[in-house]
Amino acid sequence: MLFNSFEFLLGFLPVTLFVFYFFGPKLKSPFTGLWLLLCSLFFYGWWNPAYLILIFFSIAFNYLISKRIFPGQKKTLVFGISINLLALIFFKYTDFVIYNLNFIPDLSLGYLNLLLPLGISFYTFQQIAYLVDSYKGTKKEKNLFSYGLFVSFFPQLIAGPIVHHTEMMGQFRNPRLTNLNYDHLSRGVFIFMMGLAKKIVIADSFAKIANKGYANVTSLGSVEAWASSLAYSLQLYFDFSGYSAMAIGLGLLFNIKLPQNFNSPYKSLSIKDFWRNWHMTLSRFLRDYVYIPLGGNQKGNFRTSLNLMATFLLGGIWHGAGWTFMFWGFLHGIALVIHREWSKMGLVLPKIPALLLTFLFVNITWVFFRADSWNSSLGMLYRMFSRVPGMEDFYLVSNYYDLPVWIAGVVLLFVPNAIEMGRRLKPSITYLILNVLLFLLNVIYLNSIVKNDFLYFDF
Amino acid sequence: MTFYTLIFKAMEKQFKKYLLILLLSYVGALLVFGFLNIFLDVFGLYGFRDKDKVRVYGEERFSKYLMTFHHIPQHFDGMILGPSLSANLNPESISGKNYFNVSIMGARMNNILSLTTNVLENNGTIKEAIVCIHPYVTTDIGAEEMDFMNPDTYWKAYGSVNLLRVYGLGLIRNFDLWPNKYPKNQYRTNGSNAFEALFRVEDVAGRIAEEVNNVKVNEFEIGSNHRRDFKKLLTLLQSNNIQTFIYFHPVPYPIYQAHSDEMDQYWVDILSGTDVKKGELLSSYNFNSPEFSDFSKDVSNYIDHGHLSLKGQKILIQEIMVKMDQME
Repeated sequence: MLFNSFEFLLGFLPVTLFVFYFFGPKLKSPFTGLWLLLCSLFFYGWWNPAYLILIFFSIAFNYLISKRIFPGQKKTLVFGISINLLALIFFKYTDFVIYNLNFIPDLSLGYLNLLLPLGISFYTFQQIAYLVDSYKGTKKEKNLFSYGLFVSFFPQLIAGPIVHHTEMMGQFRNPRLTNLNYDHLSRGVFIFMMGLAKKIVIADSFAKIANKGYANVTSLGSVEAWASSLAYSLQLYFDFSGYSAMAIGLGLLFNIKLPQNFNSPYKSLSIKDFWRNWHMTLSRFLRDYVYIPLGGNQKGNFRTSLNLMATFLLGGIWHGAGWTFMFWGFLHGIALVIHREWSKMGLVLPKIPALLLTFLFVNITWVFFRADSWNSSLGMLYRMFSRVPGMEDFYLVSNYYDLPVWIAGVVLLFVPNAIEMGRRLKPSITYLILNVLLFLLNVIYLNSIVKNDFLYFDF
Repeated sequence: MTFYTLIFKAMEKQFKKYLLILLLSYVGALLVFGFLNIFLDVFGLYGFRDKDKVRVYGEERFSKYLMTFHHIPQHFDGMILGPSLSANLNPESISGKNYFNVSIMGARMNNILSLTTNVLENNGTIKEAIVCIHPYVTTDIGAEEMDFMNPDTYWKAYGSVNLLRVYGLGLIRNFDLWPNKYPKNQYRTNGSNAFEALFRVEDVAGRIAEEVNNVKVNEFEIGSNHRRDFKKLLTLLQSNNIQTFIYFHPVPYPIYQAHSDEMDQYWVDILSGTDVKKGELLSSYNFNSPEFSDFSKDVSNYIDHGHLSLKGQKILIQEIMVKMDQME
């Protein structure tokens, strides 16, 4: 069930909210949690009920193993993490391993073509973090259902934000959880509407150009190649940050505050800054559970650089099973190492060149992230950086109906983002009109398009 | 009660009021927008618009499909079906009959079937149909991705991006804001698309000569789905007692001459698959046959390598009417 589908908006969400607020105050907290858990599992099982078996197993296993993890019991922790990673590797990377093994002469293994269970990368990382926190002695969850809710809470289950146990469980246990909080509801609705518009109005409009461009790399001229790569950069941002805003908005509708995941990343003035503002909860996870355990910046210059590289290679492969994703991570790792050295020299670029350089680098590296293969990535980059005429009968953009949306998309990169605007919301006529216009715009677009999945569902 | 609690309560009260007004505004905005679109009734869906006030402004597939729900079945007694090759046939010259040209640019047989099905399902006054056939209509090569030809499109008439585009193009055309690209009366109220000025090439003979070598053998292959849909179309028309005339569009003679074997074979092939019996209700004619070659040899009947000029359209419609009258 997509957040931008009528079955979610007109069926699932109103029913879930109604029971939550109508029966919630009458029932005690374990039951409201149980209701949210049931709804979340229903939401997850809607795509494919078979996925439920895997998430049930994952929740039960991690809950039980965490009971046996205490500070000093490293073996149990390693066992727990290994099982999680094996499950992730099996579903996500088996075919990639087979692909590479098949390069061995005379070896021809068949692909398993397994369907990637939705959100597996997200809920696996979230649970690994829980196991590590248990090892560090953080207070553990005593109730299986509460733990299940922490893992499966539907607003953030499929594509994050990746949350910490400690930031969620207190909120779920709050005795005022089911009290109507009009401040939260108003902000939640507004942030959700903003996120929905980012996805269905802006991201999906840029997607038409990006999809056509990347599907026809050999037909592109230089200008079209740049247009395709820029369109993808914008599509990815509006798609994923739109999803995150919807998740945060939905969380607020249930009095749950989810962490911010994007903070206008294309306004960043350095690559370090970019990673502070892009997919912030993944960056936080990688920092806390990979980079720092590897030694962070405490073991000398060379080791710090190695740690950065390792962290970003892992970040790359987390996004997808392919060498292009790994290379994308490698490029970002290298960029962070270079930026570190540059900063140590005390050199600072002026604001605009710094912004352009950062965006340009990010845009170019997204080519490896988006293209289907090495050849396609290199073909796109070749066209971007050499004077190539496009094919005569190929039109990347067949009409300019979406021009106002493209302009709005670019402008939105430089104004306060959905979360900032949500924080600023006041019960005023200005916000009321803005909100109603957003609602109408969303309804019009929802009633118009063939729905596209969210990009991060694939990761 | 602390100062903080007082402030919080006051804010909470304001947010409560705000949220209530917001939710009511959502409902209000939705109702106003929906009813406004019903009132404007740009596709004649709800019967609020006079017949001669409904016309296509743009988004042709979307518009004509929506017109098949009410406007076409309730106001016309004949329809022309086909791709752009028949889209500019102006049925005005068909005397005594009230035809609507349902042809759409780039139409394939599945589109023609969807349009016809919808017209006939809406129990109207349609009694006759003219169907334009050409290999383009039945090939699998290069079909449109977005065809709008499904019942869900109905709901888009209450408010969608496509509808807003139609309004926008309606304003541009009615106020003649961009006459070179969107001429005021490009679409007539009988559905025909007067695209001659937009499509006409300077050197028609040269364009035809160029096209002779562009035609590929696989363009004559009939897609299996299109063959099935053609059969369904004929069965549907016959079961609804629609007097139907199927014609092979007259291609310019040099193109026909260079590919005559494939063209003739195509015509035999497309008709041979049908199990409907020819008779009072169904007849067909190949306008590429030798007796009509004077027409296709005359370049002035064309505006490019296939679309007909005003003169060509007039002659073709007259011929079609003669042949349909012979049926009766």
